Amino acid sequence: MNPARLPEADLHAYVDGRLDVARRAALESWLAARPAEAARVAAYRVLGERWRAAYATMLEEPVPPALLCALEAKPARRRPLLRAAVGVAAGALIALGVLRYLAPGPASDIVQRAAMAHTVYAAEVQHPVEPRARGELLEWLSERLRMKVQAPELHAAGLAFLGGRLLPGDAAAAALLMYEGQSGQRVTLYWGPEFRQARETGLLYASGERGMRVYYWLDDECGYALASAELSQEELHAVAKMAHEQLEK
Amino acid sequence: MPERCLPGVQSQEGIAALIPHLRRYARALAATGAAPDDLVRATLERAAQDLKPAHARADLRVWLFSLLHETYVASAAGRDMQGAAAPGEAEPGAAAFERAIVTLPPLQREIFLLVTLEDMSYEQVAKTLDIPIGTVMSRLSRAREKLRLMLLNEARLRQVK
Repeated sequence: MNPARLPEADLHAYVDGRLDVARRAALESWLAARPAEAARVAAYRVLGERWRAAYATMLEEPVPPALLCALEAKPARRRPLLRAAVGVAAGALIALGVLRYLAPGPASDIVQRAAMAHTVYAAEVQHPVEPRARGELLEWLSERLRMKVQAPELHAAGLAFLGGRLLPGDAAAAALLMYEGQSGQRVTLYWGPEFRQARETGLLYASGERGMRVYYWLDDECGYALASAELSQEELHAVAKMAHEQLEK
Repeated sequence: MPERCLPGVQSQEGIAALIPHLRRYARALAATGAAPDDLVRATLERAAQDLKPAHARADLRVWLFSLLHETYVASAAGRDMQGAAAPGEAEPGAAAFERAIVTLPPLQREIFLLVTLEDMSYEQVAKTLDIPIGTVMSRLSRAREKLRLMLLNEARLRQVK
């Protein structure tokens, strides 16, 4: 890429991680020869990080009940079941107290389950995963979950696939895939088909005690949750984006 | 739990899961002024009123943020901000960069925050704000450049002192 100027839009797509690999590589070599532009890009990145950091904790704040009420304010559609579900979910979570959760519903359940599975198995040194070859393991998990279970490629984030295992869900089987970084940090990807929902949610974030962070999303086939107690939110977000892109393409 | 299969309930739960995101956005948008939760409440009331099964199938987040955007623009705060050079008020304690955002025109502020905080794609931002994607790109570029220069100046001033 030689032109003196390149589309400004590409620079921004680069800052936002929205360029494909080829264009990203081209842009990086273009920037390498233009320190002023590279500095501008770096400054844009810093801007984003400052805003994200400043507002990161807001997502963990409990929702004021008045806002949930605003949502239920319209009696035109009857929602006794929702009220009951909200009550039960809230009760269960207060009892568990593992994670500060975002909102009632399947989303918070998958966060709980993924965080628990991570806590139990990521700490395991000897047998964190089933002793099976990758292909065989994924085939077996796919069979048990009745959907195609894949292991997204996370090498770009420095994570190698370690293996996985079958887990009991609430009403159906679930699966846990595990990845490991060079310094031994572990990231797990939880697959819970029982958390599927009609519409894809996009990436959502939840965090809890002792550095536990979870990025999750739900689609019409399954709920997915990436958990780690060792990665920063930024790092886990990058990993989650990678997994999300591969699984939702 | 068969009740979860009801599309209405599912969308309402979907909306509930997005409330923290709406609150964060509203707070960042007004940079601590103008009662952000009031903006969210008005948005949720409209959402509860307008919710149709179609919204559950489409992008719920884009729909909710577009409701918030409309509410914001219609609100007195939104109107005031659109006045020529009237910079918004921020709390004295807010960080310099948070104060910086109120000097941006409302549309630039919204685009910058949807991309930065919500990690929306440019297409989603265009849909949310009901503007062409070219406008998203040009305003995003202006917003970032303005914020960059403002924070750069501020850093220089601090060094001089």
